[in-house]
Amino acid sequence: MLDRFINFLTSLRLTVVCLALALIVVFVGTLAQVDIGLYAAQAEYFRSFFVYWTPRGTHWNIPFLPGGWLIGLVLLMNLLAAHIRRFQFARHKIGLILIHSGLILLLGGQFLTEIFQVESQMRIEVGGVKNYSESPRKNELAIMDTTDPDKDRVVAIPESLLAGGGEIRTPELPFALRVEKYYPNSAPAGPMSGGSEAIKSADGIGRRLSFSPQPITRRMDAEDLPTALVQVVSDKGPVGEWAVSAWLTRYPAFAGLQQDIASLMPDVKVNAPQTFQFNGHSYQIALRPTRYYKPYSIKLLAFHHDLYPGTDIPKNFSSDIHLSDPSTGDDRDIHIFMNNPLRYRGETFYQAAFEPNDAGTILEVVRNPASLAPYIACSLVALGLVVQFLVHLFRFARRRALQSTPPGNAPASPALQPALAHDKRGNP
Amino acid sequence: MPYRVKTSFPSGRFAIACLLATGLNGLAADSIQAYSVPKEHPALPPAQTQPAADAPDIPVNAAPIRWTLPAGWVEKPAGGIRLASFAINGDNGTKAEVAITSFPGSVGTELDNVNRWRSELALPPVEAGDVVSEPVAVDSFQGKLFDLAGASQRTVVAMIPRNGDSWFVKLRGDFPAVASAKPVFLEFLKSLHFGGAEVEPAPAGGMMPPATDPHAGLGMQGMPNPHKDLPKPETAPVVEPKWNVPAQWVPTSPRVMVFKSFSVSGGAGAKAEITVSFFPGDVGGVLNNVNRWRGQLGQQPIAQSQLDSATEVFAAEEGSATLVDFTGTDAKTGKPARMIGAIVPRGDKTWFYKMMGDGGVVGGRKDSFVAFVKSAQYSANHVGPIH
Repeated sequence: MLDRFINFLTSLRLTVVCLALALIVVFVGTLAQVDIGLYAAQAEYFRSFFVYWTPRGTHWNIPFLPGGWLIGLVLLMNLLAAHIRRFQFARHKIGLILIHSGLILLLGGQFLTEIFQVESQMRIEVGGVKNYSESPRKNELAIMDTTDPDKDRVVAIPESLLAGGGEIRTPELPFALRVEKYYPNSAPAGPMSGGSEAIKSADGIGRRLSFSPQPITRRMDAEDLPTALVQVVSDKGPVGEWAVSAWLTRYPAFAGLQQDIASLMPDVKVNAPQTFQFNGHSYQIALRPTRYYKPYSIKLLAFHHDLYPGTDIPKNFSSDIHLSDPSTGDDRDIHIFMNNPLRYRGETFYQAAFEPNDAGTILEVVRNPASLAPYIACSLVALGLVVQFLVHLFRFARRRALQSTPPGNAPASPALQPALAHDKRGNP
Repeated sequence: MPYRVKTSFPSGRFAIACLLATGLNGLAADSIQAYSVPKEHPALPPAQTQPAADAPDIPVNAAPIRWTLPAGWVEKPAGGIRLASFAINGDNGTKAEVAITSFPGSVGTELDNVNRWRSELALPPVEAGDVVSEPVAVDSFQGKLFDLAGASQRTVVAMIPRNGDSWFVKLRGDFPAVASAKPVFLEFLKSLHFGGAEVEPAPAGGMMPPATDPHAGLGMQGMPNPHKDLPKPETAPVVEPKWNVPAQWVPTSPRVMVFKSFSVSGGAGAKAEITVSFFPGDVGGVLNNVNRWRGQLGQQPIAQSQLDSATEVFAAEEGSATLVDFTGTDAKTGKPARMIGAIVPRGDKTWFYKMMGDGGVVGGRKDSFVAFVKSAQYSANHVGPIH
């Protein structure tokens, strides 16, 4: 049984099947982009272990194709297993070993990158301080207990759990959350556009604004802004009902909405926290971009938007920040500009964008534990190719030298072979 | 022994594959997280960097309200749905509270509201025939006054419909405190004045301040909220008027609070945008809205006496329209711009038409814009194709 498994894992046929499946997944996944857009297609076909099919009218998830991760993982295991099984060290194979090690590192590194890389954004207004970055696409339902004057206790529920509706219970909260409605994409509805299908709530901003469902966007330059109607339910009955929406928390959506309703509802501040009391504790509820908190904080001292003199053409964007890290004692000013990011505690902060009127900066924050893997992998492959080439060159030269040298007059050292061969050719 | 691909797939392997699929899928699944974070540093006010004129074409609707503060009442910070709030201390440590709120639409029937207030006093719901009220007037708007007594608490509410909005002034608290405060409360109702943008803040009393936190204090009693009975904003689909849209106008996706929008293009990238919106009531009147539009072009407001010379009134298919034509600088883009607008009161609503953008484009399409406004038929029964 074990032998069969090892045979299966080390077979070249498995490699071919995996490559063929990869071709199919790439083809089908590319076609799927037409219907579900680039991001969703990447997530469903390439950044997944399995590609699922949901029969119409059901909630089943039936895997019908291996996803990109599974194919890559099996290919990696296939390569590793074949090497382990057939590995025989020989000096003339050093180049090949290096090349394959590089490939294994490249595949493994990319796999780790796919799984562990986190890309987020840190938006800081001039003079503002942030200790977290936000996901550009993922959202979470955050319930914050703000009773403690020093710190907030956050329970973050991924948006994916809201999508199923129903009741969410966690030991971290003294009440349950009942998801009454959930729209994966939504639009704020004014008094004249409100149809029969909309989210309005009994408490909070949902009394003043309603949200209507929208089709999921397939555009690259747009993002889905979900809205949910969430009821907080205690053992004794309902505590309240709130409309939570990415329209109220995600920049620049909330800024645009604030302007849109400025004249009609000047007293409504769309991104103000929605609060409630329960058992003597103060809570806030929000559907917000998924946050990644840092053990340090960054203050934006200034943002610079340099132009070429006499033109409106940007020359440089840069941010002057102050980094404070109580855990390491780091407390310093840093200048971040295009192609010159800050690398700190495993994260890289790139200058990515800025707010209108240069009111703030937007830094792209990338955490990738395997970021060095491609560099090392490519170096290994390059080194392996050079070594392999030289091994062949020397062997070829020696063979030529042996062929053209009279018997009993073999060259003293292989290192002289090329020179001798050349001499023989050049001066017969 | 080489591996051979079999045509059949044993059930055991299928089960393992399914388990693998489920398990691997679990690796990528999201889960609930709980953690503590330091209090967030107060952020700068959002979106204040944009000029105010970046706002879309929304009429002046959120009318401020003025009052004369009675002696002994303590004004509390407005917040949440409360436009104003006051604390009253009665005898023997009893307390009461007055809150002013406003909602768009009718916010449910009178019976719904009465039963909601009754549930706050732990009273059973009543039928429509059992609702008792007396008339009350606030700033010449007729409303109803309800007086509901519970076991230990009492609620006195004035409900005033005004220009399609519903205003509530509510006195609630311990029975003795409410009983002694009711005469003062009735005087307080007489002191209330709804004001438009032209109304200056009254130094003696106060004007509704913009709330800094619209949600602070929601559920502030910490009691289970019988939210199912609470009023919800009423939004009804509106039938589009029948009108003749010029062929050159390209429909665009309307922004929040905008009913229909179009764009027209001239040469060399010059553009103008046409928006149509409507709101219940007179939304502050013609002068306020003309001045709001003037502000969008960086123009100084005009006085009532200048209104006639600054506007032109023409007859439309249904009703009459007030036309304005301004040139100035678009406060949003900082570029020269021209605006032609029309205000058409029709039934219980006021319709706003606006064409704004490049001066040449707007000027060249003034006739078609006026023809469009004139062509509108607001008959509610119209359900035919839109022209």
